[in-house]
Amino acid sequence: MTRPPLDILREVAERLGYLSVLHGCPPPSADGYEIVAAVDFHGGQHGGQSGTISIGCGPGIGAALAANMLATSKPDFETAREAVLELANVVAGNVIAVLHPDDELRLDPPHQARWPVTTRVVVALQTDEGVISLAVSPPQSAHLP
Amino acid sequence: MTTTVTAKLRVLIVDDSRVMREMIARALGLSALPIASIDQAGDGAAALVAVRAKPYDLILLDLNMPVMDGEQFLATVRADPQLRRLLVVVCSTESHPTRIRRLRLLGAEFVHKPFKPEEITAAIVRATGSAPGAATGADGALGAETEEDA
Repeated sequence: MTRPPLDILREVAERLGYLSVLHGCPPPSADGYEIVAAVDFHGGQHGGQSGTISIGCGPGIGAALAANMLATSKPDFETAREAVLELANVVAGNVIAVLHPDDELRLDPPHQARWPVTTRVVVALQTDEGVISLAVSPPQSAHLP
Repeated sequence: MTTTVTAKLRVLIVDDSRVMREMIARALGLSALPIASIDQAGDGAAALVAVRAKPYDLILLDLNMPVMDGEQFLATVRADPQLRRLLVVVCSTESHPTRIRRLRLLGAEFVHKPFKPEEITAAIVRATGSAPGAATGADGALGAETEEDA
């Protein structure tokens, strides 16, 4: 990771349009997340590029995301969970493109997870639905069912 | 004699995210594209079963999926004489040029996630060669129905 992490995430946020990096705002504490979605990445022509990108959402944010994505008023928890998984998928794909532009990395499908214990980068991001956290970490082994 | 040609697309959306499938279906519903039907599949293997059981004109395909990913699905379809002409638009967060080039070589259009509804419409128009709301598609294989009024 040669570029400053905030620089990379700012570029991704600009690409996505609906995220902005919150400067000087600490991410919510790990035990405050209602839903954490993670995407594992691996591969690359130089080998050994692997890790996990996680998105953590506090109470109600997943439901608000789902409501916006599907233009519905009262999404159930499963729909909220799937909305956060999809957000993680989109964010991870775009982060990886900037983080490792020369490597053709593979992303696994998003899964629900615990917030990573060890992280390389953690930032708070402002969305229309509230503040979410994004972490880039070494590969995580703990998947939630 | 008046000939009316309607190229109503029978669409299969393949994505492991139910939320994304519903977002795409909603975008199609709001577009001016002539849509006959929209079915959904949660991975490439389920999509293969679907396209072998029922005719489709257009596949909207995610890449990163469990069981069988989108690239495997596309390669399988292109190797199958019965399915090789299926129109495919890949909708993915993927942006590595090598992979996108590989997908294009397999005859797929590409839309980058996140996309605006008009971007997915434009990709479908490129794939089918028809304008939204146009009376005809690229060829008769697009599920075109011809009605002749004497």
